[in-house]
Amino acid sequence: MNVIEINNLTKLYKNNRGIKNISLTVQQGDILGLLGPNGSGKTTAMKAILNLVHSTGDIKIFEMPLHENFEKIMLRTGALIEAPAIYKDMTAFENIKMHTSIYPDISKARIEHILNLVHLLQYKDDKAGRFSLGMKQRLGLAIAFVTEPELIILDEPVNGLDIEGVVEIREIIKKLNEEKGVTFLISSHMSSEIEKTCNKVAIMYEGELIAQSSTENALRLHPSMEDYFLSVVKDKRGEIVI
Amino acid sequence: MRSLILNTKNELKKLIMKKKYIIITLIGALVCILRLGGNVLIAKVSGGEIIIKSNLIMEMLGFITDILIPLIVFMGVTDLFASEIQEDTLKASLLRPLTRFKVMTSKSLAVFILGCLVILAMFAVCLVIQIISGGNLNIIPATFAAYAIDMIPVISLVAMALFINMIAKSPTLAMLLCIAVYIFFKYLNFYISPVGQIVFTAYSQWHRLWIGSILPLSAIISKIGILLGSVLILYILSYMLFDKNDY
Repeated sequence: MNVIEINNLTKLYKNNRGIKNISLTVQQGDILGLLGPNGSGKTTAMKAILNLVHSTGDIKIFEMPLHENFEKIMLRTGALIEAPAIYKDMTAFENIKMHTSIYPDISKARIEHILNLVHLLQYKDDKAGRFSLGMKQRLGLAIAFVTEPELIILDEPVNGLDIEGVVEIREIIKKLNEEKGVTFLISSHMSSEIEKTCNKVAIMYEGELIAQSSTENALRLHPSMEDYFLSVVKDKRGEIVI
Repeated sequence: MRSLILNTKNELKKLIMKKKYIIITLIGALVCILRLGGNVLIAKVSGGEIIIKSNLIMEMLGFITDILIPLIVFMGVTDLFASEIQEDTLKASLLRPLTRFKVMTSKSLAVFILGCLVILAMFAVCLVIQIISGGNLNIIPATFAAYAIDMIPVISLVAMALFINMIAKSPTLAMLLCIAVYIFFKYLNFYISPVGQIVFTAYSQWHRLWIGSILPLSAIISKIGILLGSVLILYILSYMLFDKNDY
């Protein structure tokens, strides 16, 4: 099943930056990484997929058109876009409780389990406003994971995390994918992260999707994801690839 | 409907968790106490010759509906819209299984409910003072009705603040504009009577239309129409702007 199917997705801001004619398919069980430099349109693409920005083109999630089925789709989707949206006056627990209150059957135990998973259980009663950048990121990830979604969209998920944190989050993503079949769409500007986490990769450059491949294929033809990325980008620019 | 109710509870919780609303309500209560204290003081100074027998609960209603409630409503709407946009927390609501219409409606309802709760709290405070000071208790049912009726025009304040929050770029500007527009309409009502009569904010003390009023039914219906019409227009315009925005 195609979990995400987008065709000719375009969103241009007033400065003419944004995304142009992106078509992309994410299948069930995929961990697809959107790889691209800063300003290449990764976040805009994710925002368009989640209806945070208005765009043109077709977006289907779980084989349903997004705009007509937004509530049904979001019941099955978790997301972390840009900086985590956290209420500073509330504790970590209250932040998750606030998010989950409109989902059916999210128990206190489930919230504590997720807080434990992202190593925030001991800080559950602390105000989120006092958290470090890394702790806020962990809380944002907990919010994305807590409702047991079938699709999780993460924009730069390891932003602000220390080395140990990066490895832990990568392990959680892989575990959820392998054990629960959760589909992921992840963006990053770090090729090593995409290489270690994703089974598919899509390269974005200057608002366009310029290449798509399985990670396996990309690494078969190139020594690393970084080389694959550079080769694709140079090819796009018309430069000679050495 | 269930998600709308649950999100309204969420939004109300967000507001109630902010200490400033409790502090402002306490200041309102203090004003009521000082008002009574003034009466007692006058009686004492005059050696009991001047005793002001007044309906404190009714007297304070003007202060509550014209000053306290507009302030709370403007702050509430600004906290839930302009501030959330600036702090990037509005995204949290927009990423839940809720349409943008439900997000906007639940936030507006939360502010309306907060306004009503403050009116009820102030009624309770004034009632206690009235009882302690040995005031006339026979007028309480009619007075409570006046408080209840004055909850209705709170909705027009919410709609006005909502529209201003959609066009203002920052919480400070939104708050300043809300106060400025409100004062402007109040002056319009006081000094340009024919125009003031068709401005929705002219009815913050709505009980005057209903209790002890000699207005014909057709005039009351016309005023209800103006209020509801204004709210509807502002709400639709606000929704169009809210839905059009990128977050």
